[in-house]
Amino acid sequence: MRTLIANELRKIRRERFVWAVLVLNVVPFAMVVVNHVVNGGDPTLEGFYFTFHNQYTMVLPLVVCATVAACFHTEFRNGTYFEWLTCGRSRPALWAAKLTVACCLVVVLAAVNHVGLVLFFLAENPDAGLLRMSAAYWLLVGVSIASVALLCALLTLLTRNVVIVNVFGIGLTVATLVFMAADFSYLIPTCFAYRLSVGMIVPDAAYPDLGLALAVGWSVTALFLLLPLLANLLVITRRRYLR
Amino acid sequence: MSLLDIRDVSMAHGRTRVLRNIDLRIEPGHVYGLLGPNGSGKTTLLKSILGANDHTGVIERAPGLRVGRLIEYPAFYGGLTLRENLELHARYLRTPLGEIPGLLAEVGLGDRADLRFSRTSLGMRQRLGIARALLGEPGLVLLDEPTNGLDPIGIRDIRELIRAVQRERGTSMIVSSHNLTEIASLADHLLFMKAGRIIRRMAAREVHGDLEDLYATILGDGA
Repeated sequence: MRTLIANELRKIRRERFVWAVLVLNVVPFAMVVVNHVVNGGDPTLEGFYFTFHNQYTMVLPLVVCATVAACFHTEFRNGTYFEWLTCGRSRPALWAAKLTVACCLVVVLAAVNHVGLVLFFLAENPDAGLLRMSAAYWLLVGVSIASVALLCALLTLLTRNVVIVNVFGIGLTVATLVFMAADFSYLIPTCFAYRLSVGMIVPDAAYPDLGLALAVGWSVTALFLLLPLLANLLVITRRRYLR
Repeated sequence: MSLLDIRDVSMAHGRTRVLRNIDLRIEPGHVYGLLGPNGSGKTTLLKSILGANDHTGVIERAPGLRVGRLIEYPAFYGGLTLRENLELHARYLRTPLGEIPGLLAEVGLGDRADLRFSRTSLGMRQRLGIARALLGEPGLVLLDEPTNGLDPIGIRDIRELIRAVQRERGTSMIVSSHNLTEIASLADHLLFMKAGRIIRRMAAREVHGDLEDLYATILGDGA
């Protein structure tokens, strides 16, 4: 597995999409910092971080989609899909290695923001509650990756078209924006990730019925994990999809 | 002992039967030319040998047989160099990286090892494809229209390369093409395919007279 993961890293190390998603990823943080510098602001979790959290929630699904789609689409763009899956290694292992690299790349991108946030608060307000902020941030990132990445991988394998998958990512972002404040938003995993995490920062923003929200939200998130996982494995192991 | 024993292999894409009752035995040290028009099933047969499609029938490989291949077109990662592309595949195949410089030299790309694949010509790509097919010293190499898209000089160069490889390594090969002239100069045995069947088999030494006429006769009149 290490060899497969190392190979996947080698495939993307000169890809320009890495820089593109990095820029997309840091835009929310940059905007909030610029706003803070220009207009002054409240360097607290409820002020600065809350604003960033809201903005990053909208960008994160697209970052995940773009990154996962680009990693998988590398094979279609280079025409190497057939060679990749018939190289003699286990196809689920090949697929898992590629997904691992894609998700790790998103985690690294998220870590860039996290480092920025920590540095900001250490400079502006060291007593702001960095642990609580970190927990909320990584809860958002973790649930978003878990619920979106597998679906994006599946869409890329089925459509072989990175534009379609990125449009899906934009649609998911819009849906997150529209429904994030709704009481039933736990039905949409990215909204669930947002409300769950932001509730750690601003308790008023949490779900009114937390028990129901957790039960349904985690169940839906698990479905968004399991169903695409099974579908992905079906696609890459069925020979007729090798064409 | 045969390298490959193909018995009653058939395959369908939907309602279209792409391979019909193929029986074939591949012996060590021989080159088999697979001839036929577009859509006759040549590439499908090669993919079946690789286990890359759902077919009926039996394909038995000799124990431990490693099969190298260049199927359809030489696909590699554009952002990587020629050397890096081969190293990637060598890692997949668990073969030593040390053979790569020699392989690149063998196919005439020794001085282009650090060139990015996206900057190579079609001829170079075909050569790299052949190099990849030779990774790990396979006992059988499948080459699917290896001169496709090349100019006459490129075709000659690839033909010479394939001859040299086969001569020096003694590797068995199955080379598919719709160009009889090219195959007749390479192969020991000729297999004519039409509509998914092998309709005629002959030794290359039995070929006399005009090659195009022979091709048209066999594939025009075949069942």
